[in-house]
Amino acid sequence: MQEFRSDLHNEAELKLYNKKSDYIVLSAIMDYNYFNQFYSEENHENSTILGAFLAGSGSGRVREVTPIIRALRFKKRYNSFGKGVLDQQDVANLSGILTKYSENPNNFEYSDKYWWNDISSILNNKLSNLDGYDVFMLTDALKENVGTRLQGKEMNVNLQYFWIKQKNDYWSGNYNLSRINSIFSYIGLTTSGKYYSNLSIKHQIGFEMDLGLYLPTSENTLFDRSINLKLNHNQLFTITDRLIYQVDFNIFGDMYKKNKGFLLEALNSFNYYLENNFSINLNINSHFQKYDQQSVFVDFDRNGYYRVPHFYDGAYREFLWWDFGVFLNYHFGRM
Amino acid sequence: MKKIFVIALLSSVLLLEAVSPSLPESDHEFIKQYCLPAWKYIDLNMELAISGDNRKFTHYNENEQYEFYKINYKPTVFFRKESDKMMLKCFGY
Repeated sequence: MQEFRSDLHNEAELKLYNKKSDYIVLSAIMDYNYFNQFYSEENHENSTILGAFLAGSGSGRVREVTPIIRALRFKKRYNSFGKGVLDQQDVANLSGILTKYSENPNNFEYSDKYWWNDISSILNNKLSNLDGYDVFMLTDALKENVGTRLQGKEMNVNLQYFWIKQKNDYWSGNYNLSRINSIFSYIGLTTSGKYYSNLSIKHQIGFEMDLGLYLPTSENTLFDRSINLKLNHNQLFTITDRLIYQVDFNIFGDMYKKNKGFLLEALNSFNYYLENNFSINLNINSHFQKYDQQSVFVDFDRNGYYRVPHFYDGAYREFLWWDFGVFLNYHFGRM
Repeated sequence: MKKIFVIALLSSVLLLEAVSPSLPESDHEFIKQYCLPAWKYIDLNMELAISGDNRKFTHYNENEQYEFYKINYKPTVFFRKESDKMMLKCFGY
């Protein structure tokens, strides 16, 4: 069997905070998925359009602190020279200006000149103690890869609506065997929580939880009622300046009528930066899944984004699989 | 199988915790307390991937094994903006 698959996916999430870190969250997802599966005598063509909308409220805040981690690495490197000390206020000033590091080359000719001028002025000329070799080592600290670093905790309760339109065509050569058009819609009451902490400059841990109750609102439906749970624990290590290792442990559980199912996953990702914008990524993952007859998963990817609900028709009750991937990534601009 | 998976999971976490040096308390508190007032970034990312998938099914005491290989081409755009009052992230591929 061969398959051609194409996916266009867009999503946006907006959180509006008050002073106490309470917030309302709004998100929208639009997804178009097409696949064509070629068997020896037939092929199956499917196109799916999905729209998902979420509104909710919550408390707490998970912030992205990547520039702060980078500034702390800069401070550690600077202090190691023994020619001065950067204090916490210097780190605060520096992390603000570090957010412009990747943008500067787009805005200035000879951007490094402006960059080091800015740094020198916010650090009150503390760079003037350094010689050329020290500055080379400091430049390294700006290029080190620290991954995406998060800090904080939050919890929210949401109402979610899915709308899915599917078209299935079964072909034998140019002869159309059958065509099935379906529209599904679901409403879900969900709660989710996140906790992230940086135990060291090189090590971050995170926990995520999602729990949802999903009910159909259309006549066509894949399930009557489904309860889904996802637990995630992840760890990120910067092993060297150019090598980042991330491990995710996932537990998915779902209950559909009286049937229950679960999926355990261990996902390993090694990301090696060949140069500042170009990385090679190796993923090695294992999965173990077991369920009774029928099962529905509302799926999430490793960034926590919702994906299309999957329905397993119960043909198999238990399976174990491994997968691996080699990815080449070019980042045009990144933090 | 389930027991092996859980044991492997727990031992991996403990091992990772053991080898990881802890951050000086002052820096740890600083990361928790200090927040950037406002910032944004865009990450444009192009991904080319070769991946494989090996599945062994157990179905009414019959075993079946499948292997899948795929080539993936994925341009993505990621935008994030944070301030005291809001957080906006957009993602597309």
